[in-house]
Amino acid sequence: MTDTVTWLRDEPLLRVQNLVCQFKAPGGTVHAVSDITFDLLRGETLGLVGESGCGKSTTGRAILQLPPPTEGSVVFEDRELTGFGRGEMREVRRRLQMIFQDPISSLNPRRKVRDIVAEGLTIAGVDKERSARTVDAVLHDVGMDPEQVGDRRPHEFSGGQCQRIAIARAMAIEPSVLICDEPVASLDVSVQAQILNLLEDMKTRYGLSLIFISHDLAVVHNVSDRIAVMYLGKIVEIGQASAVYSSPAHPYTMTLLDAVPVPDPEVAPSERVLEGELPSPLRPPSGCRFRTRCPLAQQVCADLEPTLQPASDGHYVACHFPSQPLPELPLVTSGNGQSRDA
Amino acid sequence: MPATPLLDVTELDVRIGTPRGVVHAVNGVSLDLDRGETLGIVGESGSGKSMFVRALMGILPSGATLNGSVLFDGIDLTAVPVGQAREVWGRRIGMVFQDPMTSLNPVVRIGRQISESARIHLGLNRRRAEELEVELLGQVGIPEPERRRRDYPHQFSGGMRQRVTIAMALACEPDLLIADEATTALDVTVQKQILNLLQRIQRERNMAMILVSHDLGVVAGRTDRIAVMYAGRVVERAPTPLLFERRRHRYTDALLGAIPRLDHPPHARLRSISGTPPDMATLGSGCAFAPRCPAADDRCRTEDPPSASESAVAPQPTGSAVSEVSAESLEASESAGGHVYHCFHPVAASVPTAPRAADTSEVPG
Ligand SMILES: Nc1ncnc2c1ncn2[C@@H]1O[C@H](COP(=O)(O)OP(=O)(O)OP(=O)(O)O)[C@@H](O)[C@H]1O
Ligand SMILES: Nc1ncnc2c1ncn2[C@@H]1O[C@H](COP(=O)(O)OP(=O)(O)O)[C@@H](O)[C@H]1O
Ligand code: SF4
Ligand code: SF4
Ligand SMILES: [Mg+2]
Ligand SMILES: [Mg+2]
Repeated sequence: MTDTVTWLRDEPLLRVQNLVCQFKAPGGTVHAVSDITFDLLRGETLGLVGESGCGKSTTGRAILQLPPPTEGSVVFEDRELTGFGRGEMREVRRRLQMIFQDPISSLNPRRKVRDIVAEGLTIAGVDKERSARTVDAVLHDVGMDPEQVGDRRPHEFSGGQCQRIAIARAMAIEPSVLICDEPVASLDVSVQAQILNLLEDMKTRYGLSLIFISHDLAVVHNVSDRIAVMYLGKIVEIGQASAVYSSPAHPYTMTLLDAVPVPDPEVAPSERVLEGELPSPLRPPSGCRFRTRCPLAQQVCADLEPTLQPASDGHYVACHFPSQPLPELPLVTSGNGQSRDA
Repeated sequence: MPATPLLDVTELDVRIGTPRGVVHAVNGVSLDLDRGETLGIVGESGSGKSMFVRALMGILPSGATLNGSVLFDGIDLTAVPVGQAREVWGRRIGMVFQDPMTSLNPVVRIGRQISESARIHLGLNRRRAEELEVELLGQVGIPEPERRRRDYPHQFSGGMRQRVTIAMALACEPDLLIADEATTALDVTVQKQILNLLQRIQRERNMAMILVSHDLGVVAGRTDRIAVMYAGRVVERAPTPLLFERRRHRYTDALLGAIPRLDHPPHARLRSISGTPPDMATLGSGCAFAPRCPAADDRCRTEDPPSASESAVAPQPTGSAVSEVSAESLEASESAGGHVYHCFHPVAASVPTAPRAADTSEVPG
């Protein structure tokens, strides 16, 4: 069942194969990530998109072995990371950095910006003087004046500025891969644009590869070369950003695209909404995990799990009925399953 | 036929005393709204959107002072005895906030919280209150309302909690529903569920609605008119189609350009707005957007840009002269659902809704 690796490419910088992340919880086992496979080439940005709880952050953290995955392999720069101890991972983190969701709480409130940005350098044993020069340069690169901000503490900054500080901290040690978990989720559109442009600049300046996590497909599409769409712990579609946008093949991708607000009053928002809630990851549905909310679901979807199959060049989808137009759905229905009339 | 609008706000100021000085959170905002109409209020964080709608609802922070008038169905909420104003706030205006937990009590069953205001203001007995709880939960799309009304907030997801607060806001059948960034913290898929829900309820009940957001995309297809706020002022307002097609204020244009669009190719550079909004405790004279505006000149930095208006009917030729208008003609254009802005160097009329692809498609490096 897990031999669908045809889309893996040669000479990846990072390869994640058959990744499984489970957690023990009061009601049983949380199936947060269930057998996902993808790779990342040098200089590439991979967008991971899906709704809250689908396993995006868990995937990002599992790459860094925080905590290590339950099963599967993570190969970074030709080294298998699963099984690495703390010391080995500390060394790997000089090349593989992550900006965690919620920047404000990930910055130590008691430390000065200068020391926060220098954290990675200090751990790496870089001498004080060189470290100070690097911190100044990288703060400058993220659009902050080291003189003005260096001695201040995180609470004195806005969400967007904290995000810049977190990016500076990650970039200071010049990693080759940066995982950004929802870097713009809590920001205004204006600050979001600043941060998205900044990440693109960093990528160019530092020759960076990115894994970019977000629930917003418009944001992901703006920065990504490839997009992987996740639903309840599975990758349901993966391909070039332009292909996923112009010819989405999975019904879930279609609803995600449809949910993006369009800044044009001539485009009336469709009445189509994704019904219901994400099912509990304690008991994922049999077969296709999307079937409980899918307007195209048939019996086979409950009986047989769809595997990723080619949809077009370099573009794969896991669905028994791919590339079918979705029916126009009624508005939100009321509790007893009938729609209330006006 | 100028009938009295449901809501008529004139020259509203909100000042908040803080240790750093007096924050001028809202500065001379005038807006009106009719029954059945939806108004969008858009602007960056800190532009005064929340303080404005909180002033309408009588829930300003302590230490805040209010000037100007808020006429609700002819009643001046800033002038009548507070008991009379509370009747209006409690029964006739409903509000939904960004974080549903600010309006939910974690240790009270949600049904009870939904019907509470109706018990107080409409004197519902227990049986009728329970019926109302079930009906409202059903209307906002919570499955099994008879059972779920006995649940506590922590038993619901973020999106469902927001549905519950919407049900709460609807309990007394308000004439006006205010949603202050009600979907900002939610996923795009849940955001769409909630926005569609609000829109459907607004239509069914012919309520007036105010949708507050920092994202022009959220209000684009869902409002009749939009007011763009910056530094506590309305810098541009217009019927929704005009605000997009013929936006004149530089800030409106910049806000629109910052939105990533699916129809642009990947890596299209966004037109970001440099810098941050001003500190509202130290606002000087001149256009507050000047430090961030690419078109700013000395005049922008020293003089307040006056009201200019655009005819709502006749399309203006590109680059048409800005007419500085008298109070009377301004009022006339307002009642015609007009288009008013405050900018010395407005963007050319008739710009495409999508920011020019030419200057957005450059790939860094
Ligand atoms: N340490 C843990 N223990 C138990 N369950 C967990 C743990 N971490 C994550 N989960 C569960 O795993 C699933 C995936 O969580 P994850 O945080 O990866 O989602 P996400 O896609 O990042 O969501 P969001 O968009 O809300 O950040 C969720 O059901 C979550 O509740
Ligand atoms: N409780 C408060 N005390 C002092 N200043 C406040 C308070 N709440 C908001 N402000 C200030 O009022 C201004 C407008 O804020 P707000 O209305 O919340 O903006 P928005 O809703 O547009 O983000 C800002 O300068 C903000 O810092
Ligand atoms: S496999 Fe079936 S249920 Fe799953 S997405 Fe495809 S059609 Fe829908
Ligand atoms: S008045 Fe001047 S500074 Fe203000 S938005 Fe217009 S051009 Fe820019
Ligand atoms: Mg997450
Ligand atoms: Mg606000």
